[in-house]
Amino acid sequence: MKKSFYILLGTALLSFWLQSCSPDDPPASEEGPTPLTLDIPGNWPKPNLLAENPITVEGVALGRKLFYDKMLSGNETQACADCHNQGAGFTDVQKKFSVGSNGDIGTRNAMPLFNLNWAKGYFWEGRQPTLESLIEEPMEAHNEMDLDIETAVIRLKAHAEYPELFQKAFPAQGVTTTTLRFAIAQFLRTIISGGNTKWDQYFAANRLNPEKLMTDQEARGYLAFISEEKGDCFHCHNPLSPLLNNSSDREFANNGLDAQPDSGRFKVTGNPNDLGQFKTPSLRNLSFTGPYMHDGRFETLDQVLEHYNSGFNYSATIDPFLIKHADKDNNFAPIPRLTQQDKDDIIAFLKLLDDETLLTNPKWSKP
Amino acid sequence: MKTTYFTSILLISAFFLLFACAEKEPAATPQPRGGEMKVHINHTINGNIAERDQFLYMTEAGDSFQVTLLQYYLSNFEFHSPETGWKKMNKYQLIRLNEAGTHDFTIKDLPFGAYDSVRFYVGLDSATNHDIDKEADLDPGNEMVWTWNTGYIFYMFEGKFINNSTMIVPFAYHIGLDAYLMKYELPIQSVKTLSTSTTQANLELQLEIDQIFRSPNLIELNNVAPVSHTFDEPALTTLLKDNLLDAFTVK
Repeated sequence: MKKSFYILLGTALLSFWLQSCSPDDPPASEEGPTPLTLDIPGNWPKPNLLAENPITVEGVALGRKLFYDKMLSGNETQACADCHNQGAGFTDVQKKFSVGSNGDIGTRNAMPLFNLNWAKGYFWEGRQPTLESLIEEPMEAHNEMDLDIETAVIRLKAHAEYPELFQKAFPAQGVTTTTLRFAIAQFLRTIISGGNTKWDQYFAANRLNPEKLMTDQEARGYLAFISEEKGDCFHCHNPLSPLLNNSSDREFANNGLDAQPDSGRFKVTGNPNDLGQFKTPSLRNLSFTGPYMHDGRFETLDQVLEHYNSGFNYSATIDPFLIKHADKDNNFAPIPRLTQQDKDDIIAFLKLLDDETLLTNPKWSKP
Repeated sequence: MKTTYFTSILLISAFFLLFACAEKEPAATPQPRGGEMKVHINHTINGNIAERDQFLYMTEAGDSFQVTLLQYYLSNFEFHSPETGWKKMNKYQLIRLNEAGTHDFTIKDLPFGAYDSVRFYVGLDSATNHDIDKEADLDPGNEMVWTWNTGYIFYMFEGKFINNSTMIVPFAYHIGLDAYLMKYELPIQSVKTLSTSTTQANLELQLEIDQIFRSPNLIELNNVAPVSHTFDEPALTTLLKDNLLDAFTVK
């Protein structure tokens, strides 16, 4: 009896000792939404997340439902997804400008919604700093969804399902303008395209010479893309960046669309050097996301490349890497440098960046 | 006998329990053998603190210009003490004109001594330059890497000038490649002393941005290519590099 007592006591004390100092003890579990880890390709930079809006299973599910719900437009005829269609890389299918719920036409081409965690500013001019802050703008715009966000909250509170879904996702807050924005932003943050394209495979296998893994035409296109004399695309679309865009000082640029440029980012910063500057988009999924540019003026990639070849216009804020291909003795008129073959080759390379799964992945489809 | 045995086990277990979670005894702290050199970079144009995006400045040749972007690497710092010679420190720093936080950095564990000279590079040594699988300031995502050649851009300088036809013209001079590494050795007039009683010292460097167009090679922007990536304009880049060699001073 005594022996059993001592063994029991000793074991208990030893057990206390072994367990009392573990530094990795998880905190006592708390009831609440379930944290969700984003599925990010291994070699990508850290995403820019909003600490106040941790991503959860319940928040994403709610955001997805809201994204597809026409209730969030004034006359309940239009959802976010109507202008950001999964089948078109979350753009408006081949539309230059989207048509709002009232039939009004927008003034900017609907941007694709993927890899948004790596942007520093949203919309073509970068006028919103976070995903969470951008949600209400298209919702409230008269030529888009035309619904005041306060009214949206009233509708949601009166809905048969949403109050409970909000309660699950945001137990402390329920349905508010903030949680409405947070939920949709959480869903958008999960839309990540990359890691599975041919480009990603080649890049992972041979980062410095991915062209060695490509077909002859793709390889020619890639080499033209990174050539100063030919495409000269890489200054703004950095192939060493997983997104093939430029996230630092060239996130916005004037690519010479007009001699009298649109105000562009100047509207946001008030800096005259930003006149005509728009966001440099990712080059992923271009096969699905046309037409191109902030005003959707180009229907094909061939037209885009011809613009950079022979169609750009001088203005005081034009990017210096276009000036490099202009005749300084002739008012900076473009000096064409691409043949049709060069353009075809570059397009063949760009198609390596298409991610078909983006269009069909059920995680992002209508629930 | 058995009771004694079990009592012993119990006492040993209790001993572990009582002492297992105690704060660790501080190990005998070795006396520090070095301190910190806190470096600050001032950027000036025409003798004034540089401002971006405004036509406030003139080149020595008389071109009205502005700076829109400047970022560059400082690396391979060495400090000279008459007693101990040169001490090489493993430090690189990406400086961005538009990010004031990058203008201050600390070189840690510099051995105690009285330092009267400093050496550093603008750019990166050849070994670092040709291995771009790096993180932090050397991450290729910083857009300071050229893609057609495994190497970094050492000095990225962009702006605008008003040409002879009064057109505003952008310029971009990107200097890189091993042959264009810029090496500096500057005297520190006010000797910086690190000791057990003074473990921090401040070193203030100044970069005169407009020196790139000044001397010994007077650059007239109207007469040179507005864009250079070193390899495509080697002669111009050599002129710019030689000018930059006189661009840093210790204040």
